[in-house]
Amino acid sequence: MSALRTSPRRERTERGLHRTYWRGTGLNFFFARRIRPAGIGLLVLLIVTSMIGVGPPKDSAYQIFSFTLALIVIAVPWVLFRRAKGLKARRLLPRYATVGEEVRCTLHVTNHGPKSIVAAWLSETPPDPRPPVELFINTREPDEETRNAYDRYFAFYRWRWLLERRRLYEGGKSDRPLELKPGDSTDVTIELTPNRRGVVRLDDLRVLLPDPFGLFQRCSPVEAPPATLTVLPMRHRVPRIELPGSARFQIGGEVSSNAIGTSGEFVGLREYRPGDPLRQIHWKSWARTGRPIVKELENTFFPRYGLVLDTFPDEGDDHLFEDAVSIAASFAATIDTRESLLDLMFIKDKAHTVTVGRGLARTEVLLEVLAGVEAERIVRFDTLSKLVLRHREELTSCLIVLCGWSDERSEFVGSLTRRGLACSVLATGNGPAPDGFPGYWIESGQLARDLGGLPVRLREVGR
Amino acid sequence: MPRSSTTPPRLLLGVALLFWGFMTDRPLTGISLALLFEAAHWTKLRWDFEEQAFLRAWQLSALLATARMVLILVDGGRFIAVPRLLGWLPLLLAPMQFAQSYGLRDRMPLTTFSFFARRRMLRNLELGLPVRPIEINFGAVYLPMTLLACTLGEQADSWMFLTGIVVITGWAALAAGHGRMGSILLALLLAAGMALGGQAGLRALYNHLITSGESDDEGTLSHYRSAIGSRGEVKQSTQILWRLKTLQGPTPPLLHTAIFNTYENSTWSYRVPPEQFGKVSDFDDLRPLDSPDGTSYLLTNLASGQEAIAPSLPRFNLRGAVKTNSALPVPGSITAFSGFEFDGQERNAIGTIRVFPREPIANGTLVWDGLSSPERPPWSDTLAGKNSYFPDLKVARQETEAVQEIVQELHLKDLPLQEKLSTLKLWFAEHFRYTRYLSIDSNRPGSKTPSTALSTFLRKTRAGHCEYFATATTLILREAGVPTRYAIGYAVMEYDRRREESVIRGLHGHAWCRVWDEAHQRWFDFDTTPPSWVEMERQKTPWYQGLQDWVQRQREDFFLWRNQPGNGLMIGGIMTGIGVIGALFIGRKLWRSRRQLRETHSTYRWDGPVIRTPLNELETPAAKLLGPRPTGTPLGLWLGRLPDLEGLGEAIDLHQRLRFDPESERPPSEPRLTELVKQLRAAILEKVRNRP
Repeated sequence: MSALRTSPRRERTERGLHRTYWRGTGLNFFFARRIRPAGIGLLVLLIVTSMIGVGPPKDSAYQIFSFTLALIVIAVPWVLFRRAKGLKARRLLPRYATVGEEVRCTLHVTNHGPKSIVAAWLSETPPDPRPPVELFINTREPDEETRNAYDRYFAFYRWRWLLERRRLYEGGKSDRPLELKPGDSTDVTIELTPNRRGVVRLDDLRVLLPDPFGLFQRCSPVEAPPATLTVLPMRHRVPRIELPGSARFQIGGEVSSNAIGTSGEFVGLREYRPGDPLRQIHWKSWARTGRPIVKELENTFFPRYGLVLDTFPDEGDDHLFEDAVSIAASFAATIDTRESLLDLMFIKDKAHTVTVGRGLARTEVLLEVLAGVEAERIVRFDTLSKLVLRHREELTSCLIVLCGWSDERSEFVGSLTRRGLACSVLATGNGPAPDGFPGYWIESGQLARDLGGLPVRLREVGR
Repeated sequence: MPRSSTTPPRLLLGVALLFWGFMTDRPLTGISLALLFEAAHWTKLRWDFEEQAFLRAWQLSALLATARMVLILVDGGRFIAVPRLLGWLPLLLAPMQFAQSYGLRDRMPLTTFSFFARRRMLRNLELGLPVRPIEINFGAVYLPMTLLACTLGEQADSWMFLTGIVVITGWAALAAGHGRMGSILLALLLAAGMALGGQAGLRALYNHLITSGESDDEGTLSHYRSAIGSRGEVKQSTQILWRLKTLQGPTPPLLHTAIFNTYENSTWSYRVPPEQFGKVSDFDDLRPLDSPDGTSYLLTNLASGQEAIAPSLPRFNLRGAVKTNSALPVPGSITAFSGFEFDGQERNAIGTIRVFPREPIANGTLVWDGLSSPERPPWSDTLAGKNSYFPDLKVARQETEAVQEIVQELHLKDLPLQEKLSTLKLWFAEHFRYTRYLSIDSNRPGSKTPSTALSTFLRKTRAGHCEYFATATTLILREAGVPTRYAIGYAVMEYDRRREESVIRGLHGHAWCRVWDEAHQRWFDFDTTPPSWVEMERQKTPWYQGLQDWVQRQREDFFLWRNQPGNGLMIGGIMTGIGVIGALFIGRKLWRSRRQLRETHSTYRWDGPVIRTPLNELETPAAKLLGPRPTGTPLGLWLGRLPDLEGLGEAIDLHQRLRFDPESERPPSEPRLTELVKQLRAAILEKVRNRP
């Protein structure tokens, strides 16, 4: 995405706004972690009771105002005196999580301190989601131009939107109080729901120590080694599709995978190579030679598909890129790589090709790559075209996932099909499909609906 | 149904509502609401309320609150509308709590309460942007609102109020489980002690403010701080305060609300001479008297008889909003009044009449004669010159010099009363000017000879508003030997020809002097403010005044109409009918969409350790055939991929039953599962051995 052109005066204004929002949000985070909902409610109540108190003299109004104030006056120092010294934790995380799906993580907590810890909660704090100033200035909220002049000037909704987008996960707070005697250990479960794909680094575990009324809480860091959680893109149900080109494969027979076959006739023995299945090991030969030997069977032909991802979203279309990644992940998870190979091809700084399938890596590898893929700022469809055409001879067919539809994209698809590559095109975008679009249009925000409605046999471009 | 951490515990809300009912003298409403919401814990009747239903409930609550507010305003409770509304909160918010208590969802989004937040959420949904509204259990809001509403109850000043608040708060804190019982009790006791201390402190502060003469509306009956010595523009309300319809005779030009006899430091007050202590009471009840035609009157002069209500006397109707323990605006020569619905009416020795209205809008008839005055004559010197306190002739020491100067300049002491008055009036008219913009300071810094604001007015600026003129006149006449008093009230100066009535607005507020006529033994009004002030005040009304007046007239007239016999019953019937129809409509819709809560065990959530069954032992051998079990794949589903194994299906069923429904183990299935697992283990190992 290229930088948006902003006048110097407007840029100065936005820098000032960013500074204000940055500090305000920081203050909000600070207090939000220390003032519980009941505390906020009580502060509101204090204001209301003070308003009642200034009316006609009434002892009950004075009493409830004083009582409300007293609760606050007692709770604040109470919280300041609470401690959880010597609390240490170790995170036990699952290998993968998925965007939007709740994941349970276990914390093994030990009290190394001299005192018992009671009525305490653990909370995993996500990294600071506040956007840097350049991102704030150079990004536009979807449909920001339709907002009124006031909202456009102050860009507060943009700030809120960026905060929401950059918040890595929701939740992360234990739902049961911690009760630990000195030297005791226990497992605490926390649930969190990732908002974004990628690798989440968990390194800010806090223990929350509230006052007896649950109004305020002390928020102290807990010693715990950092851990990472790989969040895979959101996948949607896709029908068991038949990709184009499979008929030609049946007639051909020369292109094969780089792995040995397993279903053909016995051909001979050879040395073990990483990736060979264990069941192909010829134990007797291994025993005889002292080196791992595998049985080589007649080469089996597997179809090889290309999954081409457009990493060049237009300005302000980052959400379309996320949708495209999600579509690619849905296909990667659906295509049966036990009987085929799948090449994921995209451009990010340089050309990338990741192959999974029989005898090679598992589908999870592809999903891991998709979890980390980022948008490319410079549009390089020609490089992507060269990358795909380099594998033209090996590919049975190509599934192209695009972020919208444009002349550049049309030219890119044309450059592939003109060289005889069987291509099916899926593009995601806002609203209905543009005129002349040759593939399957997946409306942004309606991925589950549109992907679920795809036909079993995908249409090939130009046929 | 599992309780979310913010849901009030069972019975707490009911107890709080009973407490509210008791504190506010609405026991039936309190009991009904308590039963309604506590019944949700004991019945399985539920509705699948979605966000839209929460929104409708909120709109209904807002509608009820608005209707209640309108009724309060119609009743004339403008100044106490918000506190009164707060007192009804539990009933007004009942639709919301109903949706929460009887809904399947235990939380509602906070966007329900904000039109703009909801719009933003809908926009984000439309654009496919992430939407994560904050959700709350409404019970956590309803409980404190109920306690807050108790504060304004009739019974809330008893010792039970604080006790109840402490008990309910403690109960809620214990249920939330944020601390141990000991610490919660200790903290609560501390808080209760501080509440009592705070109450005593605030009461003392209030009393201190009152005795120092600040912020006291009711204080205008005994003392009044004038704007003399203040700077800036005198601003008064354009709102109609009273409407006056002349029934017979002329219309009185001035209506006083309070009369004072002592001036000091810009403040007028009413004081009884020390030697009169014990002889003169502060306020006396008025004497009732029935006229020959059966009308009941209240006489303002305790010594008068039927002559005070003679049919020939001038009279007028007075209508307007009145607060309790406030002054009624009356002409100086009032003899009686009738038709007002007051619980009490009193008059002090110098003519101020205060009332305790039963209804917020007062409407009645006042009779006056223009020749008498109900207040007592000037205090006499019963101590034969030894008493230095003559309120009606006393001139404040700091004003004496300037006042004496004027008296000497005009030779007032030597003139008869009427000439004194005409000379003074002419002098003010020729040499003074009326202005609302005050520029005289009480104590001007840097001044060599300390001068009061009134002295500066008399000697230098000679421009001021009515309080300057009235105070100066009162003191000058006293210095000239004429007993005088200071009156505040309204000038009747705006006549509405279409409605044939006079209108009294806030900006018609006026001050003047009451002069003692020794010859006729009566007090009469004497106003020296230049007549130009009337024209200046007329220019002050804003553009929306007509609409504001219309609304106010309608409100007052409707209130009076409603209070007439028969009309109240009719309105009550109509309102009840609308309420019943609305309740039937809502009830019918609710009844049709009801659901039964499913059995408890089917929604039970297991929070304990994972239950392992004998089937788990198959995981190791099966992994030799299937590879390691993927993360998140249930054991039964994974083992189901094993081909052609007799008894596997039954074993998985038994495993599921032991795993997820251990309570229904009749007969126990674990022995059978152990036996099956043994067979399956052997079969799997056989397959492992036989694979190529």
